[in-house]
Amino acid sequence: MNFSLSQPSEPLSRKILSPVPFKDRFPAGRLKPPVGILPGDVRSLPELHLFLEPDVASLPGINLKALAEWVEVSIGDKELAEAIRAIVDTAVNYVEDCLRVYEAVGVRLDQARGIIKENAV
Amino acid sequence: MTLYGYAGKILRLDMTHRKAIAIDTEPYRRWGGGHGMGAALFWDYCKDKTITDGRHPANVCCVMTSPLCGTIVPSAGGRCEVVGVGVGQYPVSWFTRTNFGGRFSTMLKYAGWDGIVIEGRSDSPVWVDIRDGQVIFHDAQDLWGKDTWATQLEIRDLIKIRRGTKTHWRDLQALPLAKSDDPPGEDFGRTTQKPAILCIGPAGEHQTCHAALIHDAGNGAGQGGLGAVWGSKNLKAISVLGTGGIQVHDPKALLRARMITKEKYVTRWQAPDFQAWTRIGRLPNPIIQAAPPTDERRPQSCQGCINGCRSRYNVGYGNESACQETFWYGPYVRKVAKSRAEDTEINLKGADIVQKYGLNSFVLQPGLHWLEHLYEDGVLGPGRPIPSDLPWESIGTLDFAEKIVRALSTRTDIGADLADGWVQAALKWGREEDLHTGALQFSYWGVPEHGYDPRAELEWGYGSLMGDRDTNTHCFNYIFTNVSAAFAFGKPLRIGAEEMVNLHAKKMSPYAKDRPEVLDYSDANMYSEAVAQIVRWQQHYCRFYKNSALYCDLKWPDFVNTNVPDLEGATASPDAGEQVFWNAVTGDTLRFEDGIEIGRRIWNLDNAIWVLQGRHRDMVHFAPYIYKTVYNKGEVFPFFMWTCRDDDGKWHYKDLMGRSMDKAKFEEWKTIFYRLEGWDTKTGWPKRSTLEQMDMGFVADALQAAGRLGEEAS
Amino acid sequence: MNQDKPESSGKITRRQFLVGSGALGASVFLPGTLLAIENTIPDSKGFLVVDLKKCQGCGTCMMACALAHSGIASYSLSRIQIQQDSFTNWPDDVSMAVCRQCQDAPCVAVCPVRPIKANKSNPRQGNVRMIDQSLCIGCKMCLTRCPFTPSRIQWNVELQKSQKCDLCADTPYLEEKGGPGGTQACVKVCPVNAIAFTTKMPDQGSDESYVVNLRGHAWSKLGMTTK
Repeated sequence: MNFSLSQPSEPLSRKILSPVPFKDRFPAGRLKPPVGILPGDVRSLPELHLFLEPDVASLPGINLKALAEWVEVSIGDKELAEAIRAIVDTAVNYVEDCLRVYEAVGVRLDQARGIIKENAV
Repeated sequence: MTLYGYAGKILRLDMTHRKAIAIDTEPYRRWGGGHGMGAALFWDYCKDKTITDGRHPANVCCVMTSPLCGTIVPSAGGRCEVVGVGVGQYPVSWFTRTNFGGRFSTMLKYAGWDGIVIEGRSDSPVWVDIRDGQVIFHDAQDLWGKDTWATQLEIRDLIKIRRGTKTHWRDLQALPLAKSDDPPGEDFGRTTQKPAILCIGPAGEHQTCHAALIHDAGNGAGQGGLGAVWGSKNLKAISVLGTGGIQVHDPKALLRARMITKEKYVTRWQAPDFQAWTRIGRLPNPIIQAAPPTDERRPQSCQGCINGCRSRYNVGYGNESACQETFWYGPYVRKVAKSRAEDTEINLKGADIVQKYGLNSFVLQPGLHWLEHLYEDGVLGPGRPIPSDLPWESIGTLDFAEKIVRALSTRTDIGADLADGWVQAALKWGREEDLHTGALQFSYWGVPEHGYDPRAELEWGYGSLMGDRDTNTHCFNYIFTNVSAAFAFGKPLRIGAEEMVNLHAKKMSPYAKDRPEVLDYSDANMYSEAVAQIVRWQQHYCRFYKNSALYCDLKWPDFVNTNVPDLEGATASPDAGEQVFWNAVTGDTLRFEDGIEIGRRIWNLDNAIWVLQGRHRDMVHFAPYIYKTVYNKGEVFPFFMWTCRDDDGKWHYKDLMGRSMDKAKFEEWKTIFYRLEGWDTKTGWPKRSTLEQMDMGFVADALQAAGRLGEEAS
Repeated sequence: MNQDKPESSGKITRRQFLVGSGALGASVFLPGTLLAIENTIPDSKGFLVVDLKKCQGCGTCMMACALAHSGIASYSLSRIQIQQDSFTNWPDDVSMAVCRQCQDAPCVAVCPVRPIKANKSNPRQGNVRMIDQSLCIGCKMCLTRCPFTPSRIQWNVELQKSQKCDLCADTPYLEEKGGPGGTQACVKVCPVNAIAFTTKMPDQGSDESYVVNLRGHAWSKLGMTTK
């Protein structure tokens, strides 16, 4: 799926790559037999990306609808939030949706890293 | 009379006088093995069954095999059960159990022993060296302080067992440190194997709750704090080399049933179904919670297992660790790891840390979240109301992992308070509210909730509470995982809800035979007699087949099996069921239901011990948050699917998110449960009539003498 | 308990052998060539090969072997020995010691029993090198002579005799027929199929020729190397 996200500004790029305060953490668990549901949370988009990375032996546990809200409010990335909402609105199945969000977040992280690197030169 | 399957002797270790005493197994035969035998031995040799702290010198710790250990019974040949009064539970540390795999039980059987009874207390650290019939106490001052891996390697060095493989046959008597009064000769056994060593690390030495017993690199007896019990007895390690064998009643039948299991119940290697719905029938795959670090690895298993659940790798870490110890740190590692590879590496090295310290990592699953919360709230940390100098800002790093495990293992920093129980520490710290809000998710007996919330997975929560600990028995919960995963992938369900429950009910004799309603976890049914029956069935099945006969919890029972055309699993089957193997080894003629009945007796013996320890139904409660809050891990995973009937009696898979538990209704359910068990419903104490019907009048006598026998007319 | 061995003419008993050859210790250290007895035995019609990278260390083959032969589950009585070290990394953490059914079979060559050797190739069982328990005098010459580590001959303490892999030719507790034309318990029972039977003799000049790659597509799909 193609995600056309416009280039983020430098301040937004920094926010994209930084953790939010503990109180703004987003719940994110894992379903892994036979242990069960392992609770956890994410506090940054890089962490979210790692969390959503496909894994044959476990499934991420995350509320994608609420995630969009978190990305908009806590990270401040409205465009990425809209992309996530679009994925949720055209839901295929939960796992497929997580994969598409993973891709979208990956695109965004690459953009942000590129901006930061450019400006650091 | 040949006791087929048994070695015939049990080893009593008098730690106080450093004496080894052999007793016959035969009088304990009726209890099967494992937990049943261990509980019966505890009953006989613990002179004060009112103790509620496992570190009391009167405590007796039994390490028990079963007739199936050391044989080819699939996924039953390699487990070992440990029982005794535990440490660190709340409000009472019950007589409890733990279990581990590997090579130890096999080696102990081949050494000629069905189990070990550890009594008294040594005045200084010792390790015990068992070589067939020889039992030697060695001073362990030089081992004390070493981690579990260093301890095992050191013991090998002491008896000159070389590292690596491709080593020569060794005569046991020719090894160093042998007893000098036995002459060397030709009649001593020889082996190519390394000793099987069970030991404690710093956590056990410091007698901290959640201290484990560790064997080889990754076999852990984690629950109950039995590592602390060993520490209190100054017992550092038991090493076993065995060169004998176990006579099997019907070797042909045993070999036949084993081959049938491989050929019929396990998916075929040539055309494997990697997503098969079965427990015994999958191919070996590590159950580590992170991605494997490399493909340069082998599966690794306990003795006799039909599909190993661990691995050994070429990367130098994570060997033999599986399951929760590979992910206790996972949510925090994600905060620092830059890649999946780094995530795996830190998680597996985190597993190695807890193995070496000999600490059960399960406590950290909800526990570390709670501690992090306290830190972020400004309550815990340097100079704060709960003082801690741990580097909380670096949580997620290996350095922090080592430091917190060390603190918990050595009673330093916050470990000083947590060592005697986490709920106890929470109360000391003024954090009782966390048990009401669910910030501290320790749902029963002061131990962590398992990931299968009591409000959703009823048999797990109810069974844990009616017992002594987190039951940790996965008999049914693949219904949740398989079905929820199928929903998540949007895939068609391989087995529909109605067929699923019927397949189970076919095998759940006697209480739930052909009663699929026992698996209806809907709101309307959650406090019913039917659910009481599944709890009874599970606890009785487990007390015999899993905790005593020692069938592995990861592979048994096998109710449904998509490798078989009619989907009927191996459990209770006439060709490869649990009873088939038991009978082939022992010469018994058990029906499957007979094993459930033996389990019921063992469960009653356990309850009698708990009653002597002070148990009363008024103590049997979940933590307050279970009643006061709603189960809503929806943010953590979208569904908790389970089989439920609707108002029309039709079966569906339904999402159980979003409900709580009604305390009053649960109290009524307890009454139903007690009545079904034949216990006094006012107290939860066994009645004489119930006990005598099970040939346990001696137990009734003891309860009566203690003034704790259940009343008949209740 | 030792059983008295009958001393009948024409057969060498253990006592006679020990007296005749001097101290057992001295005879053990004599180079094999000095005890060389011409060994022109036909090749075995079967061999076991193993995949060292595949074994899951469950010991089921060992227990099944002992059970099939003696009705007793045991490591020390097993004619295949799996050795493992929990504190060593893959692939050096496991070794699998199978009898190689050697072409020149030093264990056969050195057997002193006459007129019929105890340790010999059995023409009725595909020339498998196997020890006739009724003839074995328990001298341990074959056990010591096996050039491999660990020795592929086992010492049965109870019977005071040597024993070895016979490709399940003599397995009273195995329902199927054993031997080179039949079933081998270890091959059949192995949960990961890390042991295979072959009629093709591996290279006798190589230490590694009995180690093969038995890992295929399913292994790869399980995320493990097939190299």
